[in-house]
Amino acid sequence: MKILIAAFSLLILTSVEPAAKPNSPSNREENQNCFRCHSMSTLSYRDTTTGIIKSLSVSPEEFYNSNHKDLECIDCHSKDFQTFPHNAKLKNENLYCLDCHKDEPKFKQFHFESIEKEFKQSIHYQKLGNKFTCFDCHDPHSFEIHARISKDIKGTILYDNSICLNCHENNFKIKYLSGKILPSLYTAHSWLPHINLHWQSVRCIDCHTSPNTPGVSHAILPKGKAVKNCVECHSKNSLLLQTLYKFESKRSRNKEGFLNAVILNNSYVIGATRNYYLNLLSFIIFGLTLIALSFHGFLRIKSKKRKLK
Amino acid sequence: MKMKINLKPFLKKWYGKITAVIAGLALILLIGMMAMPSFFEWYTGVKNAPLTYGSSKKLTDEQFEETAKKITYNERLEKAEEITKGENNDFTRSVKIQMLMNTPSFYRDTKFKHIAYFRKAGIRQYKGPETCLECHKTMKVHESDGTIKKVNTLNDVVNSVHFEFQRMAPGFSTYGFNGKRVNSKGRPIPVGKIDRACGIPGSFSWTGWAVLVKTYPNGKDKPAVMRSEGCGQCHIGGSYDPATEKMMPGGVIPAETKEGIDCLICHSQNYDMNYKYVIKDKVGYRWNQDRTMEAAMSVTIPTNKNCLNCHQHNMGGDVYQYNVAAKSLGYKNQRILHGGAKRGNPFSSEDDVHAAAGLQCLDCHVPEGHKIPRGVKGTDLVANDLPNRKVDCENCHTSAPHTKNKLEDVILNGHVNRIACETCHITSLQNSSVVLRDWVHPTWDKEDGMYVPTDILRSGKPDVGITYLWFNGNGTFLANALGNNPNHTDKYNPLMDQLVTINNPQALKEVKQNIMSDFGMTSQQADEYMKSFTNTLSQLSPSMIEKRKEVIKTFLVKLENMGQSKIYPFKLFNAYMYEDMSNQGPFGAMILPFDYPTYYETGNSLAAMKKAIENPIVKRMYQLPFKEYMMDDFMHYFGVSTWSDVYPIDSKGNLRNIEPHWMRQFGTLMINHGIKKDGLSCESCHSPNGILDFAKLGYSPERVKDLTHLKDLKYFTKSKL
Repeated sequence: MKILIAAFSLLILTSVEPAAKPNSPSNREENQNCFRCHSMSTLSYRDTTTGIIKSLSVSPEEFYNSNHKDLECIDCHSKDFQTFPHNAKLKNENLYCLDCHKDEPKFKQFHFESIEKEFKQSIHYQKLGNKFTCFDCHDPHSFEIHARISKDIKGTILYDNSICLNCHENNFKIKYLSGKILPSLYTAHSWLPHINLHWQSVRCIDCHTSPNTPGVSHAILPKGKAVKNCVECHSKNSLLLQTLYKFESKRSRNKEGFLNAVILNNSYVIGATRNYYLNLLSFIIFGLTLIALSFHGFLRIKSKKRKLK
Repeated sequence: MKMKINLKPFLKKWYGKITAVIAGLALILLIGMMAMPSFFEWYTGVKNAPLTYGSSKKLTDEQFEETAKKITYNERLEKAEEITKGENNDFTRSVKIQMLMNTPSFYRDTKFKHIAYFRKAGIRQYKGPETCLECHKTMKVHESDGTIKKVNTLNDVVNSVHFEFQRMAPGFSTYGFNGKRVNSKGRPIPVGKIDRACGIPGSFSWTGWAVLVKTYPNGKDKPAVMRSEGCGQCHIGGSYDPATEKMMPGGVIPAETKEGIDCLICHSQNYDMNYKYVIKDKVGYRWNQDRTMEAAMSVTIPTNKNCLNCHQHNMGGDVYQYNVAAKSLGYKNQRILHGGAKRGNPFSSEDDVHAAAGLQCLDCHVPEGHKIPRGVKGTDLVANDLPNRKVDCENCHTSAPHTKNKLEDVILNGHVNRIACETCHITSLQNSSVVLRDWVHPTWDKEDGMYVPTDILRSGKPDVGITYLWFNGNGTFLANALGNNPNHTDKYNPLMDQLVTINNPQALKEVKQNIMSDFGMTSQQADEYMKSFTNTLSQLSPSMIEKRKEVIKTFLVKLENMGQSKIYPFKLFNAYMYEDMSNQGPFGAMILPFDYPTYYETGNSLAAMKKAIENPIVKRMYQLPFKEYMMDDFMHYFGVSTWSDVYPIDSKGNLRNIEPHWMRQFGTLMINHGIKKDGLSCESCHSPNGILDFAKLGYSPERVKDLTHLKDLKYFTKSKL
């Protein structure tokens, strides 16, 4: 059992040195020792108190596509894991994202300090305290930053929402964490028109976090404080511009210049002119119309002058 | 008043003409439907007649109550014994038991609810389905999506696999050698029990439905003893012939056949298998059944006993020592027991952990009405009532089935994704499991006094009777597991490798001894004879072998790489049979059936085969409508472009184009029962001479070395699994 817990904590990530090594054969070779067992996709045990299946598996494919792909397992996990069977003491390995990610200039853009602050304010931490950790949402072995780099908003929505649904669609887990059984997501959102369409088009956190944040908001609000007013999104100054489309509009501002972003930001219905080429087309049509108009005016003036003559 | 209807003006109008045509067609259809049963009977030689059963007797009220007492006796006794457990004085206890057992509430409180129903309704005779249908005309069916549907009970039974012999619907996990999933696209053909590529020709149900065989257990000069044989003993449908009417377009099951349905064999807890024997009446031979009131009064939801009445036959085998039904062979014309077991993985509390735990068949095979799921995986061509309904270990055991939370358990759970539960937890099969059966050279069974096919190899051992293959849930048209190593190697090719040879030296030695003693062959003759099954491909011409490779490359590789494969255990089977060589393909030829009485009585396999193919329905198979309707498509799945309608008996009555052969590859039968709590140990596989041949399973040489020499194995073997 001890060994088990030790092995389970393998899933959890800590810091030794966040050195970004190239994705070299040496990291793969080293990791292969761990993957010998931990790549088995069903490597798992049943938690003796809750009965929940605890997976000890790390998918090599996912890991080598994740943001942490250049790391060796023992960069985060204790070096003692290199011996097998693992020492029982290792079960207490307590890993925390910020051990690596704090005060590192390289990670400044991600605002980990504010994430930490926001997390402490979030309903998850408020209600569950230390029972709830980063790893309950983010598996460091498959973690990818998505919203910042993705061109595919739908993909980001799917990725981000699956993090929430992992627990919130699974009352077994919720009960394990909170002791409560929550109503189904459909019941809880029964007031929302076009539920499925909304879920495909916005992220849970777009309504359920406070938007005033430098990075991705981690301050999950209590139910009562979530966005419920349609106009907050469906308006000229849509909330979504600070949340879901935050990075998109920043990026497009960098790419296409301020003008496009301004026009984007003032659009009424979210999604109507998110397309760069449509925007370009509307500019061309607008420009052509302008040219045609001025040409027409020019002709009119000219012909009038001729008539006057 | 006289009214004359003049149709002429009406018929002159355009709508009149259309009405006339429709009416004409309807009339033809009506006549056709009325004539269909007689036509079917004429065309196929199938017989139908009203059925009567001697065991269906009317009871008086007194007899009824006596029977009620009798069938509740054990229940009442157990209850009374439990209550009086604390009584030390034996005599007092017996008096108390007596008193309690005769208490009215003890009579009422029985699992046999139908006693009260029958008592009230005045039912004193069981007349077959009609008695059941008096109350159960319709029934509620709980479907897997949670909906409840009301269905006609009789139709529900008639359209279930337990009655039917074929299915034209999709839902087979079987792929033809043309790469097509059976009946998934194009015109469906009837497939299932009637034509599956089974290595046991007797299962050609038309020619071996119900027969009486003369046997001479006391010597050939003594009077013959009649024995019953045929497929009908296990099929609730059919009367004088199997109920295959629906395989024809527009076919309907005649009312008489439906009257022959044996409801009680599945529902009665007191069904007496001694009533299952062949009877002969004016019309022909048919199977008798238990229609006593005693059996009817003890109906419940089917229990293991009911299912095993038939299914222990192909799981544990007829000669399996805990096969209960095989202990009641008949009040007369006793049923013939088949020596070799098809699978040898019995479901009995002695040999299966689930049976021992009191689990019922229907706990895993959760039915929807009379439709019972067999799971989504399968290598054979057996029809499936609920092809999408899973019957998996994982349904109950989750993906982390080992729960002792030791290091081994975690690693064992890790294996689940690659290794099927059955691979470790079926440690062996019954020794009576037949691997090689020679139908062509029968031997004299002195005990039963008849000729029987010669099982030249029986084994339930891993590597002899059991082989281990990658399996993605699908099989070929000739019952070979499809699947591949998840590394999608091209090294794994069981149809050119594992399944075309038998090379366990121990087994080969045993086989040689068997054939030398059974057939009186010399060592040299035995070696010659053995060639054809130690290398089954030696029976194919070089061009056929080329074609075979081509088919594998073009069609099967794709199918093998589909889905998720795991290593599963399979019971190996091959049989030496007569084949119609006009219909030969790279994977086999049309197998020909035997006439049971001729076979058992004379031991002349050739004559028995000839007699069987003289059966009208076999002749029809070689004629035009059948060829077009069914046989051509059937051969496409077989990997042959067309069905040759050259009937194997020529006009002079001589056989033509018939040769005895072993199947060109071993059949692989799924085994899922006979589950042991303690599975195989780590070293059973992870050692140089383990039961898994990792190289043949498509692993690279480095990986094979790794898997057979695991350096960390010592940490797991401390506590042996």
